[in-house]
Amino acid sequence: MLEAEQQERFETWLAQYRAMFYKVMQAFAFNQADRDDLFQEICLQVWKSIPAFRGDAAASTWLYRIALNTAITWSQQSRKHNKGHDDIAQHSHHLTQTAPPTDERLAWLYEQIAGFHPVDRSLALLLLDGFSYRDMAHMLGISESNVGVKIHRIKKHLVAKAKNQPSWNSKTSK
Amino acid sequence: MEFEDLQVIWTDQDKTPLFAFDHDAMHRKIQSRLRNSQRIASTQEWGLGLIFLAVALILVLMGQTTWIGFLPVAAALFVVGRVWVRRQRRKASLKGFDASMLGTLNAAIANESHLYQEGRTLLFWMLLPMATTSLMNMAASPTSKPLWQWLFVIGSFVLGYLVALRAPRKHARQRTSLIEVRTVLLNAKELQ
Repeated sequence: MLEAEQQERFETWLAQYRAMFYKVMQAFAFNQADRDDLFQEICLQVWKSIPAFRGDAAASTWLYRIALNTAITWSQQSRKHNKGHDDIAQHSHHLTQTAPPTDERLAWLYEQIAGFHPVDRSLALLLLDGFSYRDMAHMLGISESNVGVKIHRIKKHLVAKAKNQPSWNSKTSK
Repeated sequence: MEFEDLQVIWTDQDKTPLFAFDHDAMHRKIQSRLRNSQRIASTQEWGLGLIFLAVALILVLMGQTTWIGFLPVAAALFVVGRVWVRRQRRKASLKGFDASMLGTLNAAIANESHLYQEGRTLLFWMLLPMATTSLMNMAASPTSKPLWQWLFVIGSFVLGYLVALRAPRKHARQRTSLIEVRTVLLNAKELQ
């Protein structure tokens, strides 16, 4: 692949799938410095992986897979690195000016997702974005039946918790 | 509330602006990496310079009488001189980069390359001259040295070599990571 072609594809995808990257960043990184770090890592992985893209899967599925796998690896490494100390220097840098979710229900949803184990977190994102069980299994390297079991648990958890939010239920019923 | 309602809330976020790239913050982050890399280089230069100056001084104070006895002193002074010259060259080369984000990034890459080169060639400009001259001095000594002394000196240099082998790898990784950042920056209008 020519470098110009790689460059063009990278720019297009970064702009086109901005929302998807945002969701992964919000679900896996919980302060601005971490989101910057994760965003940078995802960009690097996407850039490096572009020549390997054969078009067998949709670009969105392929990019989601890269972003989630990068985020899972990053969160494991990040936890290891930050264990026991809070790097104040990190907090002075903000690569992205990320807007926090304005809808309180959306903020709550991110909070719930953040409480899941990294694989369940990835499944929750994919589920909410309407991916099929097959795609999810392929992206995360787990069986479809396993996806089914986990999704059932995630849905049950989210719905049960949401029902305990009386102000929203009145909003939804309007 | 059902799951489908949550999905609607989720999908609605795609309609709002999400994030913008903060150019200044990226610049600050790169500047901090450059400062860090410069600090490491400076510490190494001052450390090596002072250690080898002390070694040379101690060897002279021990009262060398033969020219072979002065060879390790010369080797130690050679290391000090080389470190000083390389430091001046490094600092001069860093002045050639402008203060822009790309200039700072290129300066950080150049600094990491310098550290990598120094680590990779450490064997030739530091360990080999010091080891050769020290062993020559021991061999020329009028009283034969016990075996443990030979083993100790040889072992120290081998150990030094093994430690020195690891250093360039770290700088090579740092340099690669900075080059990757530069590639992304150069290729993404989003990030400029």
